[in-house]
Amino acid sequence: MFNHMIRSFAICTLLSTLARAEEPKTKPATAPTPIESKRAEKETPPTGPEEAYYKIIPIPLPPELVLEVSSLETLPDGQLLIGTRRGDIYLVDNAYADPIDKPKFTRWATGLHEIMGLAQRDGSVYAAQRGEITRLKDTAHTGHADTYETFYDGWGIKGDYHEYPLMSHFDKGGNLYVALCLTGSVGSESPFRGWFFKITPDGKGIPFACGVRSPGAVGFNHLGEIFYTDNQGFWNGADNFKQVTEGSFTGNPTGNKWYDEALKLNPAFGPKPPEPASPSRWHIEAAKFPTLIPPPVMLPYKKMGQSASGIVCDMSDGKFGPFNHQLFVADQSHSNVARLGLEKIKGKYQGFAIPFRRGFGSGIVPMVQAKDGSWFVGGTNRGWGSTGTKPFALERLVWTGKTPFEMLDMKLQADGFELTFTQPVDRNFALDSDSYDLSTFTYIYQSSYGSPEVDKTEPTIKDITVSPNGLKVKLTVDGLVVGSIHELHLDGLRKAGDGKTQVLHPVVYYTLWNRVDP
Amino acid sequence: MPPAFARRSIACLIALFASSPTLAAPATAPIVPGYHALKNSGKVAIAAQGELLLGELNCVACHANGPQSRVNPKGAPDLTEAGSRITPQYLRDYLSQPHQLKPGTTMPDLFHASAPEAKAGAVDFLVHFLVSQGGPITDPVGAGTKDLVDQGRKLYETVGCVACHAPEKDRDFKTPSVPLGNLAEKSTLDALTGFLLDPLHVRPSGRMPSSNLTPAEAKAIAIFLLRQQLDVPSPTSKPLPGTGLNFAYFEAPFTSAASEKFAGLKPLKTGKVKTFTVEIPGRRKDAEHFGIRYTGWIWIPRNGKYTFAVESDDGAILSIDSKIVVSNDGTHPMKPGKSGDITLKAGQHPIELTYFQNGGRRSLEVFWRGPGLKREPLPTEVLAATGGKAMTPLKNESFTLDPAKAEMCGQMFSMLGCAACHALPNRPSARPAKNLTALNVANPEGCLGDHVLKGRPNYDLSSDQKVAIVAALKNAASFATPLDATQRAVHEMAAMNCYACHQRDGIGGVPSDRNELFKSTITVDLGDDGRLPPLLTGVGAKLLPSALNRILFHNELHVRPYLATRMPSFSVEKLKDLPELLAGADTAGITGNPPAAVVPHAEKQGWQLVGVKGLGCVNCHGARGAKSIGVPGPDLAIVHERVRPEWFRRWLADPGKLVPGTRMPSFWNEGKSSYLEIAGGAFDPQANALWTYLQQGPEMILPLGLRLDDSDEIVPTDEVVVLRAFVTGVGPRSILVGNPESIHWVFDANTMRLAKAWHGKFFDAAGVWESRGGRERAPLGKDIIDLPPGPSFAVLDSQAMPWPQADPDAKKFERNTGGIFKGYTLDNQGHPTFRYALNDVMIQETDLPKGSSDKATLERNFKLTAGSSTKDLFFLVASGRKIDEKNPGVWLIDGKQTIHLFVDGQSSPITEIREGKDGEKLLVVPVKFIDRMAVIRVEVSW
Repeated sequence: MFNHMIRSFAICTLLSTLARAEEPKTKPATAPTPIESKRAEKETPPTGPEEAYYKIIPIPLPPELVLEVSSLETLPDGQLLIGTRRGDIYLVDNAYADPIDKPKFTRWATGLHEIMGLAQRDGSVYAAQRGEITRLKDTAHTGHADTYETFYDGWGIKGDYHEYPLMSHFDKGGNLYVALCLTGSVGSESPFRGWFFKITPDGKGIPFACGVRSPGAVGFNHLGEIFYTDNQGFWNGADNFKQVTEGSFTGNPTGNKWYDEALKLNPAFGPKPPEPASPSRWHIEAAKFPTLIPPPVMLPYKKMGQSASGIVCDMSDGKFGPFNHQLFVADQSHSNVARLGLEKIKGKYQGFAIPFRRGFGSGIVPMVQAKDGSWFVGGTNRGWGSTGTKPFALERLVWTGKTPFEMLDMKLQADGFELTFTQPVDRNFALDSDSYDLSTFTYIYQSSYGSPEVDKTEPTIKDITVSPNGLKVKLTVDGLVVGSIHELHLDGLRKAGDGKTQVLHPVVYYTLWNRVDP
Repeated sequence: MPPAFARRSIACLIALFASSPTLAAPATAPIVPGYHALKNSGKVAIAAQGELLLGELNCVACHANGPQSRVNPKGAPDLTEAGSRITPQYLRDYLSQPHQLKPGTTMPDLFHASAPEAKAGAVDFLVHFLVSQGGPITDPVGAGTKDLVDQGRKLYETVGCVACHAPEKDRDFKTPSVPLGNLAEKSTLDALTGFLLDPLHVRPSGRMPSSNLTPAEAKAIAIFLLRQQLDVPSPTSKPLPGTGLNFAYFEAPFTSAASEKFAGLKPLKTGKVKTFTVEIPGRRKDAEHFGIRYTGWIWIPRNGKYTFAVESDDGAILSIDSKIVVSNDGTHPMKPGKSGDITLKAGQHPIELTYFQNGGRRSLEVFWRGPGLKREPLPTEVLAATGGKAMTPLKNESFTLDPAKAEMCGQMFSMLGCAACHALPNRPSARPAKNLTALNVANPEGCLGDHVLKGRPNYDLSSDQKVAIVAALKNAASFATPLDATQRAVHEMAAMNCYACHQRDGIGGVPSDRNELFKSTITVDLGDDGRLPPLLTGVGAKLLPSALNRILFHNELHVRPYLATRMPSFSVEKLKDLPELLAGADTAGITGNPPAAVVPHAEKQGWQLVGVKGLGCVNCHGARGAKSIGVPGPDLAIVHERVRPEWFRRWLADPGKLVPGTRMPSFWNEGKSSYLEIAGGAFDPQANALWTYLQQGPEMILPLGLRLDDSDEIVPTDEVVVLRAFVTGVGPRSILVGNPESIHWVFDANTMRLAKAWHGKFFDAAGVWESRGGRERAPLGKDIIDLPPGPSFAVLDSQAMPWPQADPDAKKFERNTGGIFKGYTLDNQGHPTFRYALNDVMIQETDLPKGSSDKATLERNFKLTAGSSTKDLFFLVASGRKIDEKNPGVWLIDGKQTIHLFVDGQSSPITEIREGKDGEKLLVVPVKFIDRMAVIRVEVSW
């Protein structure tokens, strides 16, 4: 949806000015000088089995710059815009070359306070900084921003480092969405910490949802529905991929105290967000409180990551490989990306998460998909450590054109799961129940920090069928558990033909909130 | 004193001196290191060498020489507390055979010819007397380990001890080593540590200067010096400083650090940690509700009152000896913390701290301040989690003090002449001696003779010492005439043995056989410059007397951190004249050298010259603590406090001429430097620009190429810098504006107020650019002024209505008191115009620097555009206790700030004075719109 949106824009003269540095109308005081990265700075890309299918291309950064990439956006012509924790916005030229050679970084704006979201529309750039969303323009066409308008500042900050606003790109209607991290990730000491705001094109802030703890990104699926990542902690037994709808409650009641204030801004908000019981389970509380949306996907803690962050929906119609319209969630701590597939059952989203790509250079925060289907991935590990050892990084992720042997999709059925693969499976292995290992567990939904894995069960695979083309495997399962994650190992499967190749990522986690009626 | 005691005491004395001599054991001549330096130099007359000995051997303590004499006795250790630091056994052995027990000591042997019984009796009395001085030693236990011996050895052999004393592997040095005696028998760990920390306290002569050791360093050296105490079997173990603390980690919903809250809880984790920190191993990274209890011992270096401060987020309680010293309980931020006092004896004390975290930020730090200790974070070296091997003096006999003997011996102490050198209260010397001028140098039974008569002090002088003293005595009649500055400087430097490390005018310097004992702390190759203390020839013409003072006495202005040997701190009392003497000696012959000059507004040129794009001084010189790019030359920020302007100019012109072989290059070859952009490279303007820049000292803007640790100082060099950050005293939505003109300010986008303005350095962004970015920082720079509290504009519909102002405690949440922030635009030079709306009035505020350099003026330009309502709007020009109108439109605020006000359409602005909070006066302007527009300009200078 996002790229569709961009394509639908008329090519904006201002942004092309930015990109191509046309003759300025007035003489700039200091013309921005692009900073070239030296070829010598080029780094060896990471290797591994995933590398053959999805290649990470580290973009060399000018050594004199500290580019702790915390937000990313692409301009209508594809040019990359990056926002940093030090408050700068850079335009990057030559970011798409492969092999990468001398990308150019031009500082377009500076002096902002930790940019946690960048979006562009109608020739303006919108940057979420600690205290506000700022609309930046280059009215004098000098090649850098000269107008920093306060677009929306209806939330509070008190100087706490956790009080970040995580901002989406624009939706189709020109709205922005902001998730406001709690104070210290535990309290709500400044107005609206723990809330989710919609900002309309005319700059009005609408309290949209409540229940945020510590967000990592706000994004959309291919239908434009809104999702965000929320980190493990109080009321989050694991990192969660959550859906947000107007008036909904996403699980952490700390911000509920601002409800009366929220009603003043949005009288149509609906009933007061609930105060769930603790300890409990998501599905038990969701049954009590209609506005509580259980997270469509829970990301098992440590198994998949520890700090869920950037979101991408593949809108490339195949340019990024076989995963069109699937969702991807990054992890800042593990420097990796998971792939998610959602399905709507009884009106609620649920679905699977499977590892997708690891080995990024730093702790991933933002990700964006460009028009050509490739992604840009930004990272920083200042203050929060990461598996990727670089203090900060900018990388491009491209599909090599080769399709991995991989579980493509997992759908719940009345009596089990239907798995779809990217390539046919070997029937002998697929029909052998020893090729699978299925167990379930869930997390306690509670007011205290995190949760162990609880309610463990081991359902039985009663029957297996394989479709004639070998692409689908139906597992008939006895003992599906509502409210639990179904952890399915596929180590025994082999690719048809060679009988040797294993599934690239042989473990998948399906979060089950509703059963399919028979 | 009872007469009977007096009689016995006198009888004792008679016996001593009446008995026949028995022994003539081999002895070493007294070691006066400065004497050897003078002698070896070949540049000092023998009489002057002898004159030194007359003072250093305390000859003139007995042989008076008139009040005008230039020869003063060195003096001897203060024995007031001798009993608390010296064991009775050592005293007995030492007094019996001083020259055998401590060869080279300058203490004469008084009993060299006494009969054994008489001597034993006298020594016994003296031992009781001396032990009664603060003694006897009680609980003489410290603890050490072999590791600490090694640490101490390393320190002893590097910080400078071995410039005068022998290294562990003694050799036959050309300059003999000052003897230490058998310390393991003599003293305790605590006493020796205390001595090393403050040697002037016990030895006011100042010959043993303070090496500026930390308590932990002093202790390690003491353990090394007493290492034989570790060689004997000892069953006891004692707390061992430097081993950290024990901790126990709990997870529970704490709201108090009271120790009972921890009672009955089971720790999730226990272990050891170096100091009080929340970063304990095994704590869950994201845990938000937990408690930690730390236990162990603290080692107190000296008796006295100690102040402990605890800063913690959230609460913490510190106890020592089971008494609460600091209670900083409750849920709160780090600052300001709390403190408490406790009087402690030197030695080990149990310490406990309980801490809890109740969400939000978490942090803990403990500070202390005590006798001789400035406030500092509690050093890890004084904390003990576990024990080490007990150390007690060897041959530590059980001793019962006989107060009668001690009392009686007091008189003997005076009559023997001990009191002539060892000053004790109420114990004047009662031993008569001839005036120096009346001495018969040829008397074979005098001090200089070969058969020193029983009862007379025997120094075991060497023959050359005798020759020198005889030569000096020939001048005794002229000792009332003061020496000239050069000679006096030589004499004082010899007495203090400066020559052990420094050469000056061909005297002294590290002798070749001790050369290898001088080490460098870094691997950068500076050659001998990186190891050996500097040459002092001409130092009086280089360093300002004030700088010499601080270097000699206050452990300040040192610029050679790479020398392992530390410059000690000397006794001010003994050496106070040296700075002026050196100045007098060295500046006398130098004339006609113009000084480097301070040129107004040349700071920036100097800054350019110093940086990497200029002459590149920063390649070898750091500044303000920021390390140089390459080798570590002296820090530029203290140059102005150290050197004389005329020397600086000579130095720049031709460094090699002043210090042959220096690494400082000559930049102005044939009068021109390679940096032509300032004065075409000419010497004088560039040297003056450098000097002007250096005069700013710690206020200097950091040169290009340098970076401070944990600092992201932003230097607005060519363009205006606009930056959002958390700024102390302003708020979380601060917008800083830094200008190349070296005047800066900060706007608060929460309250629509220009909050502060200042000159000089701009801002350190590390608070938001490092770590998790949640720290506020105050502006850098100087002359920071607070602009009026509250917003710039307000609608006041009555005279009584106060200017809107939030409670300072609520400042972080205060919003929109002066309108709604709309952002800012940048003009083509990057100056921001802030925009905010108050009701339906749009206000544009453009603040500009006027003038340049360090006294620039802040010019505030306001343009107001009204909507429908223009009533009752006021502008707050200034506030203060005293507002004096100097001229129409010109005010002086509190005698400091000058305000110029210009209102469009008014030749002299209409203003009012209103009452502010707490007696403050507010200078306000009712805003009058003309065609819905109003323009106001204010200039603020300070």
